[in-house]
Amino acid sequence: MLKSALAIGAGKMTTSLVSLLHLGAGTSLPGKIARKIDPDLLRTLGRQIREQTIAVTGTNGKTTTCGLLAQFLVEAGKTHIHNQLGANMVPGITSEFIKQSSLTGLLPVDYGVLEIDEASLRGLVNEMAIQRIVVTNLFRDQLDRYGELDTTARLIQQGITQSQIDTSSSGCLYLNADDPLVSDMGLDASRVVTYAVRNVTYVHPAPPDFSVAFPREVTQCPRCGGGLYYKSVIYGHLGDYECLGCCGYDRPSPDVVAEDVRVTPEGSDFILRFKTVSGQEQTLPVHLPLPGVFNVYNFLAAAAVIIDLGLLENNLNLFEEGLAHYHSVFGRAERKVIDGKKVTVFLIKNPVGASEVLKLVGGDPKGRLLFALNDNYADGRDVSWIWDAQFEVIQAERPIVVTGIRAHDMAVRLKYAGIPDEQIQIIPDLLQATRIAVEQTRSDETLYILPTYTALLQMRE
Amino acid sequence: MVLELKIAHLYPDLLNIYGDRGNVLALYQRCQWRGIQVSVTALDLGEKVDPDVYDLYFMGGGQDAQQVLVCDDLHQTKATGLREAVKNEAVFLTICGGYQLLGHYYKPMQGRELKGLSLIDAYTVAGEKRLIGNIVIQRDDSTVVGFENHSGLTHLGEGVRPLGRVITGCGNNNDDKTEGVHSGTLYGTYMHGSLLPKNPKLTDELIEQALRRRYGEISLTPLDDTLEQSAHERAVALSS
Repeated sequence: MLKSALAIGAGKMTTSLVSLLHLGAGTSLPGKIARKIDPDLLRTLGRQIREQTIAVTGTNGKTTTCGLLAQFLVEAGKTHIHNQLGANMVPGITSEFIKQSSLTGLLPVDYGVLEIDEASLRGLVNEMAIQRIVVTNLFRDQLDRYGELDTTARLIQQGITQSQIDTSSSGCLYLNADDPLVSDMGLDASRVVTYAVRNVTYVHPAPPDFSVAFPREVTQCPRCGGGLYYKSVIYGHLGDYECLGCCGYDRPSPDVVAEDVRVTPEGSDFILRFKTVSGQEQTLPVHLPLPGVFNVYNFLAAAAVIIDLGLLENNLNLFEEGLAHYHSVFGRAERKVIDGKKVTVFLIKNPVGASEVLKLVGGDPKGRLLFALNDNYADGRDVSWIWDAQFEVIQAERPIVVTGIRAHDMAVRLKYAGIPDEQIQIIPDLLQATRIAVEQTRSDETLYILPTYTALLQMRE
Repeated sequence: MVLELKIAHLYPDLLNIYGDRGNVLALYQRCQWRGIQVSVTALDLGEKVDPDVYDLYFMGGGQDAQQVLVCDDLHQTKATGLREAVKNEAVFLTICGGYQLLGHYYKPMQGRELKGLSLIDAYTVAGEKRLIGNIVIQRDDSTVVGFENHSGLTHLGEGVRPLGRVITGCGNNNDDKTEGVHSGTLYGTYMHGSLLPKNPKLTDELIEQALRRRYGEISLTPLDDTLEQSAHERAVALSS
């Protein structure tokens, strides 16, 4: 007890110092220091969560899924702890617990909502009772850090197996049914809820043909290695698939579905179809103020948990009210007004995610574009990935500004996507580029800023 | 006369992990911009190679599991056609995994040895650590820039010419300062980036060689490479 109090004190002191010295928010430093004093600290603090802890992992959409989940819990009158600043490895999560607990180590909350890095899920479940796990998707991302996609899938699977979702009576795994690499993870779990998207239309449809085809990231069945056939594709390797081999693997029949999704740069409208905990079929029209099909998936992941927790019973307005009160996390479809101009920021980090954003904004006749490409460790050192993202969907009628450490690479990418040289403005300095792009934007237009991770952090400063 | 260039992209879905589509796109666009009639055909698992059709073959790199599938298919359905194509002086650009399969064999840390096509005298053995980072090589009087990410260590046979000499980075085996291979119309390298867009000189060399097969000596119309050159120079600066 004394040890954990000491550890919390040291952690809290570090938190104050970090903020005093402007060392950046969401750091893992306080957690690291406190864990040196008391390695069991997260275990001790985590034990106090009254109801349950939900962990969210996967390549894309963790931050937004957790944000929505936390907001819906607030609407349901539940208190929670949430590592919302995105420090998503075990020391970072420990920092958040230290921040939220009292000096004597009290942490009176109902739920834990934890975003966790794909490779760190194993570490987290060994220290905390995690009863519910959400896996959003598995895209190719930062191979210079984690190696191969198959390795990442294995790490998550091990985390699920070592968690308490099977030993806890109300434990559950929430899986994206449309991702063949993810829906397979429920094979041995006793209780699984899956979610899926059906029928999507875009307001600015992308040109259908590319001179040089884009490769598919997933072509083989994760169970038997046979060929994978898609009856329909939502985006990337997400869709309605079946194995052409003999193993019989196919897209599981989903429990929570978004149907007839209409996507605009402002948001999406769709019908939510699900079964209530009492087993009744239910549909709800949803207006999601976050743009992109990827955000429909994030909503579905959060909604699946809330429905399964029974929090929607007698409170059917919960989603509507939660969405009305939700504020985008920095850089995730975040809208701002700068000098009277409309600006929307979308973090881009891998081919599939970036392609979805481009489909959304690349054809907007009232849109302007600013790309900020860095190649620091947190961005991925290799910028090759931009060649797998579909910049070809951009219909450039206005100049495009490119910036960041790898601005010149970005310029070449745009040129080979068919954008004329004279439309491409290279301004390596990020802040200057932002200023110029805002200036060029007319009052009836929207500036879309698409930065990689560290470029986004630089813009925040 | 309208020139024609036919590109075969080997296993585009299986060997695709580091943006190697960018190489095919660079070849394609630089032909288009010059009015050369260019086409790209995907050659997937089970599809045979007609050696009379294609002028340029591209093969990228993949994950271990895909590499095994590709290796088996190469020997079962494509080896004969590809050997014939090499005799016909078709151009081959192979990167990473594709490069390794051009040699005698690839010996991974675990699992079975992958037999290569032995089109070049080289062999590859998996190393302890991954060699990851920006790379610049000297090739005759110019530089080639890229990004490498491989654990395989490739050793060229006696007298086999590398693509270039390492200035910064690791290259074939992090030891003898060689990078890649260039033997007749066969090119192999560990450089991604994607490689060709930022190295327009190399791209044009490949196009010229590929056209030579049908049309003899050709000199390509120069293009405005200001953007490509500045990206190239910036990459050199970032690597030092």
